[in-house]
Amino acid sequence: MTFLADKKNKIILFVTLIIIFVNLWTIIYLAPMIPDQEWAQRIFYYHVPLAWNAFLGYFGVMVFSITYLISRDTKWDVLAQAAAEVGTIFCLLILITGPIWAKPIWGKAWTWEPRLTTTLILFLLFIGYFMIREFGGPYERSSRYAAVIGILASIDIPIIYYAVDFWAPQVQSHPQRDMGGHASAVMQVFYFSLFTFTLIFINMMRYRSHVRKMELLKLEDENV
Amino acid sequence: MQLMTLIKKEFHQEIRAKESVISMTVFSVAVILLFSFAFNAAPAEFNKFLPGLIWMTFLFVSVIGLLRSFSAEKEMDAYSALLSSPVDRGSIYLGKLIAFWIFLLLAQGLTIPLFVLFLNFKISGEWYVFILLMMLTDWAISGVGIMISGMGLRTRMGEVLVPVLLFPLLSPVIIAATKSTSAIAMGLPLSKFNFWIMILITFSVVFSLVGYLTFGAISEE
Amino acid sequence: MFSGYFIAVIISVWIVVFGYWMYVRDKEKSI
Repeated sequence: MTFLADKKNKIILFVTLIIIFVNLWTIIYLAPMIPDQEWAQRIFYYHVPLAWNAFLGYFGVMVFSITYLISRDTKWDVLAQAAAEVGTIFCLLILITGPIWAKPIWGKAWTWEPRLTTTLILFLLFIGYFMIREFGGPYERSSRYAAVIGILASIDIPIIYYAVDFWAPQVQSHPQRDMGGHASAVMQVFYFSLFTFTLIFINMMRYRSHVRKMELLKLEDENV
Repeated sequence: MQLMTLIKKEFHQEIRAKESVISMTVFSVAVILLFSFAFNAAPAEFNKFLPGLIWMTFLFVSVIGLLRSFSAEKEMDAYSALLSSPVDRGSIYLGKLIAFWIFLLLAQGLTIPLFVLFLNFKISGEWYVFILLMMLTDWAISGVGIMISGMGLRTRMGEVLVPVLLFPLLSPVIIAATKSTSAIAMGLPLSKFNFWIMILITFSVVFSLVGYLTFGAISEE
Repeated sequence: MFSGYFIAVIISVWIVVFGYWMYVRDKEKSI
């Protein structure tokens, strides 16, 4: 049965789509205009929620991978793989929207500043994750290996997060943590956007894990 | 204790020990020679890049060494034999970690003088601090390296997979080592770069812990 | 009116998200 044939999934997706449009509307019409940065500043409402959700995804990879290694129950591996994929899509989007945002604000699209660099490293780490899934051999083995890589890769994240504080403190610090300084109108639009992207994340996770589960079942049938 | 026996085993495979240290050293020498030619009279600005260069070299050197770290096990299916003996998987991991750590330090010990001689590597600070830094960084490299090569052992494209996985995993470590080396070279006190040392310690601990706990899962079947 | 960069971000985000959704759907179809 396809994912969207299920009524519940259709409803969740539909609601999410509506919220996406509402979100875009609030960003365009309700968000306050920030002097100096003008329209480019509003990229913030997409870029930062993307980042938070990518980290959410990768945190999930760590939790699901550890649980999988301990329990060896396939359902955790399904979740780990889905979280890794969706997290990496969001990570890719950070790497796309980041430079687009940087160009008008800082003048240069790419600098080897700490945050962009470490996000790139994270992306490369998960390319390795997918490679080991692809070339790791039979499922029993590649899933275990991927779990180990997943744990190693996601453990990097908190370390990297704190590294940014000290690496080059004169460069842009964490906008995420400087949140307190923003006007409440900005924060409201931001939180709604965060909510929107989390919904998108959840939709993608549910779809991907459903399809993955079906893939694995088919593999099992073929092997028996 | 089991661990000591395992470590000794790594060294008794003298061939491999020689293989590892020699190939790693030769590679470093090649890099140093290449850079000497490429950068001719080693101008003053070159010193700024030297720490990065040194650690990049050691990173590549580690890949070469790591690909050898399971070479004995590959022969005659010795790995299955090792695994079917009642040895704690974590100890196997630690044994290999410590052995490779020592090999890497030996190779570095042989090549650092060459960096000093040919590329004008100078340390204004204390040399023992730099040696401690190398020991710390090598532990992190070995910690994650043994895990990765343990996986690469069994995989198709294992030899390609090791660098692909290793480089991103070690980037923060290499960055931290480079920054620390620059600081030591400039003679700065520890307080100026203790952040990077903390990063190195964190990675060393985390990698070793994960390795110890998961090596069983890595070497199964 | 809107900065081109802002539009570029919106468009690229939805292209990627939509692209991924299609990728998963493709996999679903081939089961």
